[in-house]
Amino acid sequence: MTDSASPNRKIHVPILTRVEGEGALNIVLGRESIERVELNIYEPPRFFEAFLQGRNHNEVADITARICGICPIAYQMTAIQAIESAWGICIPEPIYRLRRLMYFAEWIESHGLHIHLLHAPDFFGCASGLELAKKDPVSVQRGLKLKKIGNQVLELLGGRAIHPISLAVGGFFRLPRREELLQLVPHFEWGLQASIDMVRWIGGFEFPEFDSPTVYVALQNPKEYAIMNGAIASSDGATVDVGKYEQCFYEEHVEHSTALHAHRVGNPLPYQVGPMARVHLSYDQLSSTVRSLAEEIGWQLPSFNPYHSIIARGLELVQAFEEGLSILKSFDSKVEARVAYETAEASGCAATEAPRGLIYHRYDLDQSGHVCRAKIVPPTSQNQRQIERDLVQILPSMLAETDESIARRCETLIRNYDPCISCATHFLKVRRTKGVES
Amino acid sequence: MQRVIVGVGSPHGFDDVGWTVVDRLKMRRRDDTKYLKVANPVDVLDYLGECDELILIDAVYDLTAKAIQCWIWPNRMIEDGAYGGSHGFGVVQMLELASELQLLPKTVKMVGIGVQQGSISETWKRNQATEIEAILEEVEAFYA
Repeated sequence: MTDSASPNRKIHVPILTRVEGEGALNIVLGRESIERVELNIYEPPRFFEAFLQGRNHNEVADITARICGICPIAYQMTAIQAIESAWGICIPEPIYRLRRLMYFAEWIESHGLHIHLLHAPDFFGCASGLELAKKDPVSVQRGLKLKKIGNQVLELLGGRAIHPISLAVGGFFRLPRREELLQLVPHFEWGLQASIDMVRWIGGFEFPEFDSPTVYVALQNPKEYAIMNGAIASSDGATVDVGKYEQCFYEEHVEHSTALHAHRVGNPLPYQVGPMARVHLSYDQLSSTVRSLAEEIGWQLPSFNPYHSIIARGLELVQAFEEGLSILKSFDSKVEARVAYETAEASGCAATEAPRGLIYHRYDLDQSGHVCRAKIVPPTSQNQRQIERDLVQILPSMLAETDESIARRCETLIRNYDPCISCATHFLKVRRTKGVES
Repeated sequence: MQRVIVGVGSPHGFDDVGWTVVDRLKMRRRDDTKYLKVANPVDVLDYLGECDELILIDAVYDLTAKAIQCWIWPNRMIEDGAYGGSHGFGVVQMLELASELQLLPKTVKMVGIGVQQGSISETWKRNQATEIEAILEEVEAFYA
């Protein structure tokens, strides 16, 4: 580390904290300019797409769940929906609703953890969730309780909270009994009020003033707040069917990252997926409770301030509890757990909204239902370029600061995206280098 | 007394040692002990309200002098242990947070099983089938 008086500086954050997985940040600063900013994802590539080749379609959900311990449902659900798409399988509405509840549970667990233990400490000047717990134990306990509710749902619907096992092509291997679901109602009633209180708490935070214009990309569905079904929309007006994802988006390997970088075809600028994108593109599909809450705390859209992502996550938590409560109360347990289907040589794709953003899967299947080829695009690989762009834009305002201060503020900026490095390597440590490398 | 034994880890490589030991303990014991597996240490917090005694079993980096080390929290040895964890939130951070929030049960015990440079101890690798029995005996003696 050097200080702000040094003419040329390299800043290296070797291990990014409060992010999932392992990554680093390398910054090279000239005398008055930003020479290089690299989000260095060094977790080894995990080759899941290759592991899937030759596997029976019934194994795909179990294998893809292992990509991430935080968002296994996103991987499982996207995989299963892609296979169902290949074979034209239509699932009954009650099964769709139950799957949506399961996906909400993952949002509750992931958003609850990120908001309270990983992101909120930054707004209190705390180095960790532990420090925040000393300042504001009530809020941290609320976060832990919210997260626990998410895991309770996953245990019930998925058989277990880690790498759930109940999702199946055609539906579920096992459906919960109606009374089991109703037992969760009091927890969701508490969670709904607690998440509303949480958004009001977040509304009192002091947000850094920083705008980083971007193109938001997310699923959009006029019938509901899109999670598992819809077209891929972008804030610049383009909308494409999920089936055309690979014609409109591509990935490339960059030297400094083991995670691929995603691009839009014909557009050199980065784009952003995740809660900010979803809220912007589907604001009208949020419940009146959520929209009123956004107005109450004075959040105005559009917002290109990445620090506002904690607001978006908070609002989505309210949406998850409110809609989840409705699903719990109305589930029709008389529905068959799975619909019958036949395997065939076919290809299918699907996109859903993981907690961190759009996730895309495609599978080419043979006649017997085995995987010939698989393609998986996680959210973090899509956000990496936007994160680097944010850093390039904010760094000029930090040049007079010490290396330690720059490193801390850059990590804070990165946490806005809740990056999941383990998923992306299917992500951070900062290296600030003194002098421009020749 | 409700005892909760939690294996911390994942299904991947050496990181599965905590889960493997808990699975085997579950097969051997017939009391009302609750056996759990978690991938992220923070998830242990979900179960603290349900127990009087918490026993954590996890892989520990560079614990080379002995395949197994057992500690009672709070203990400096635990704090110095090289425990991994998602989000920079490992077992130690979880225990510190639980302590701060007064969520910890009266007794917290930690079993660290040594792994080296991305692989389980040489002994474990050579003969897991027999080594696991020795580990189970030692772990059970620790909390018996």
